[in-house]
Amino acid sequence: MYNLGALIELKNAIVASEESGVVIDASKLHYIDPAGLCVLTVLANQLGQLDIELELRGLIHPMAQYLERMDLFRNCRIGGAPSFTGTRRESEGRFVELQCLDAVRDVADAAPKLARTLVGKIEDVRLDTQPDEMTGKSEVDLVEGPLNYVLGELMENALTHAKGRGYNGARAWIAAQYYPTSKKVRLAVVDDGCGFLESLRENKALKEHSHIAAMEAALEPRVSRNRDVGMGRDSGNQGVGLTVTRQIAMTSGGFMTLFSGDGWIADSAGSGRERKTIPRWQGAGVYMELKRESLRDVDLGAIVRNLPGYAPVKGIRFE
Amino acid sequence: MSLFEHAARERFLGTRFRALSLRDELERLLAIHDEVVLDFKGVETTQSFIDELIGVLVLERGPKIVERLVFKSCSDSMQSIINFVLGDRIEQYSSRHSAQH
Repeated sequence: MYNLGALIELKNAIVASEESGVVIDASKLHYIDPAGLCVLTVLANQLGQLDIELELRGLIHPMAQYLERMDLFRNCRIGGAPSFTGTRRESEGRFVELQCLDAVRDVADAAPKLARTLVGKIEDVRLDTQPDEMTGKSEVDLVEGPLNYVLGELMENALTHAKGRGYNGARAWIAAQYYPTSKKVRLAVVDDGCGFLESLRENKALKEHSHIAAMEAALEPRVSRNRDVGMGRDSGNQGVGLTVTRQIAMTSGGFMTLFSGDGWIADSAGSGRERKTIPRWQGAGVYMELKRESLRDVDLGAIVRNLPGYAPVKGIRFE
Repeated sequence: MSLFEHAARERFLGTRFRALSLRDELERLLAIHDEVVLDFKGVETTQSFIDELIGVLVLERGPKIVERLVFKSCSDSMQSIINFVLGDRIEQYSSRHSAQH
């Protein structure tokens, strides 16, 4: 890893094969990132539901430990299960456990817990630091704030939109890792729902009927499936969650990648947008990297004020 | 009347779902008080949360509801988020109602 397209192609081929058992030569699997872990977990779940036996042959010991820690083997039958002894240990990265959510109500607790766990993995951030007298914020607040924002928005977005258009059983998988050597956080939120194109199919912002066009529209401010829903309890979205999340990634010097259907787009700080076609993924995935040292400099107020059409509203009373 | 007294220990409020119960409480307070203070001391939120909390009220009741709200101890980012949400939903309300006339 890392070739997300190849992994998705493998997943699709296996699920479509109608074999009763599948053997994957995993001897060269030395590293898997959060997005790959989510995709692999979806594969394991789907094979389990189809009662297909999966064998990961030749899995090296540290990778077997990782995947076992992530409970990858829980939802499918594994032939030739890797045998290992000894205590679990961390490898080069500091993984946070893979989570699967199927209800929007679970995000409110899951997102801040995940953000706090990630911050706890960062060696130079002490959770007991006191707030700065001037700003009222501690180092933990400065690092955790953008993570809270990103995780809350991505997780709630995934479950809200994935379950649209009849995909009531859609779920979202979240994985995250802190890399102490490069001081980067990577996180992924991947769902098996309706995907961006289906979600935005009637939206006027959709320039053409393609998965890439749908993702590009979704990144534009004020574009959402249900922005203009009728008044009442269901307000809909304002369509800026992904826009702001992307800006947090750019401001922190990282990247943000979206994939859905046969489309894949990636924005990196300092580079233009890449686009390509990949093997089809039913659902959507968001994969981000944030640089730890730049997290504290993310100015959410400035990001919001730079949204098109922003203007202070007369008559708001701030005290 | 402070809306977030019972949520004070939550330093980050990030989801629309979380805002739903707080909006119910806000509406209850608006039914019995002319003015409600939303105290954001030590609290940060996402734009989605603020939209679900007060953006919905603007869409339902119109911009005048803002006159009955006081936003206290907001950080710079919170002020920006509140400005954005209210500005966007006020514009949407106005467009919707001018189109109907």
